[in-house]
Amino acid sequence: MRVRNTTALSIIIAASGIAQTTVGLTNSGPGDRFNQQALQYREGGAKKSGVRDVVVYPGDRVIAQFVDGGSWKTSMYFVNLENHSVSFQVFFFNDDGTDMSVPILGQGVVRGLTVTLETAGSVQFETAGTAPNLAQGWALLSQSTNDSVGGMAVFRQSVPGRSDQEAVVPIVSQYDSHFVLLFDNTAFTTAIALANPTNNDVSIPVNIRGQNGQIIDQRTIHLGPYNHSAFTLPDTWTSTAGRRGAIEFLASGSGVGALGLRFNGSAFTSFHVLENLNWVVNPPQ
Amino acid sequence: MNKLLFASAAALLALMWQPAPLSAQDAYHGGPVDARQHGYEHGYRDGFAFGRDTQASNREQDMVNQRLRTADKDYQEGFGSREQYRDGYTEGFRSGMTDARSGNRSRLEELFRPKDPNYEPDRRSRDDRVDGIYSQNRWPATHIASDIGYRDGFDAAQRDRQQGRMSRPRRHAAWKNGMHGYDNQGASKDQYRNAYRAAFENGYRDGFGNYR
Repeated sequence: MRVRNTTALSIIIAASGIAQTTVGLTNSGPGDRFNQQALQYREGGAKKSGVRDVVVYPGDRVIAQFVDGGSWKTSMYFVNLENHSVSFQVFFFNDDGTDMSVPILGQGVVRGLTVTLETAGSVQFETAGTAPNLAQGWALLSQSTNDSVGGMAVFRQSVPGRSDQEAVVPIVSQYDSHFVLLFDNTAFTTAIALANPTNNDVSIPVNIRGQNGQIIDQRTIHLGPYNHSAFTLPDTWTSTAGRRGAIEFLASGSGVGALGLRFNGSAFTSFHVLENLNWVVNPPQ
Repeated sequence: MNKLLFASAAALLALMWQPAPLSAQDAYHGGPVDARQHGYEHGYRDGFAFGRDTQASNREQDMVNQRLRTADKDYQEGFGSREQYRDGYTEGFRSGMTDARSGNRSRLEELFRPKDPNYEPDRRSRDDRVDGIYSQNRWPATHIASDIGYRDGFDAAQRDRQQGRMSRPRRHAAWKNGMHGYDNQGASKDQYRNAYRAAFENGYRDGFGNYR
């Protein structure tokens, strides 16, 4: 495990398979005082204003795609955005919602991590990536408080003879209403990852729209509690093959975390889904 | 003189052999009014119920975290400090869940059975004036009904079990009456009775069941 920006670190490997880590700033000095002032300013400013200009919300807890093995590995970064220590857990799930065992460098094979970060503390974990076969699932930032914890995951593909490829997996919210994912399957391949971070079955009607906005296909996605699905669009929804457009998800009630991925040969990138659209809802019949 | 001394000593001995007096909190039929202990008891009940129904998978652990994020969802100003209630609930939830998952004997009896051995929820002639403490503290009437009803049901179930009776919560006078602790404020009689009876049945189930 690599840890940065820390002056105190303790690690306990729990028998339960949940690794525990504490990271904190223990030295105090002028720099710390400045940081405290900055944090207090933030506390009294944007965070409490109600304006949606803060990038981390308590609902931002889904890492919609998580991979390890078969030339892939995933790094995770977390930072405490509060002015007090915070504790949280990171859980790994298989597609069917069961616990996913993940080899984390320096921690062993675990199905989750328990992390404590002091003010402004941050931590990084990385999967071993040594397994011959690809294992994929999703991860969840789980807290018993409403403290702000920011972070991201980055997955990387390492193939001998060429540069590593990387893409960020942002920690996203669970979208509980209407959201849209752009796709481009002309010279590229678009994939989608969806995770249901709730204890309810979720069914999401989907409208697939061409570039002029017309509906060219309609589908429904079903995800059980804590289930995950990731697929390339042209293979699963063949109506998207060779086309560009937008996929409209008509989630209602319990939401899902979602992420788009675009592949261009060996290169790839990720992108957010889009919310707050004003389209007239037209669910599949 | 000797007779007087003997009488005085006997009176003193008689006083010393009296059962220990109940503390004020023990006498309240809906439980403690201290915010932390009140939260603890609600948390313990919820945690014990959660723990006996679930395994410690990531999914269940996340559900615990989500539950504890809203540890103060039932909090009311009349309970006292919100922070103490939340802390007590969280501690109680974890404690109850651990007891259930570990197969430990639950603390439900210790927490919810009345401390007064002479208390019987079915007896109409009991003195309930102490229960005015809750409405004086501005607890919502249906919350009072729930807390008193749960305890009365728990106690009734334990008495039935000890006496080898069948499970029969609705045959108890306390359930039929459903008004223990009602003081004509904050809720209609029907609202109060419904809340009391539902809680009585929950308490009865826990008191009669195998979760001890």
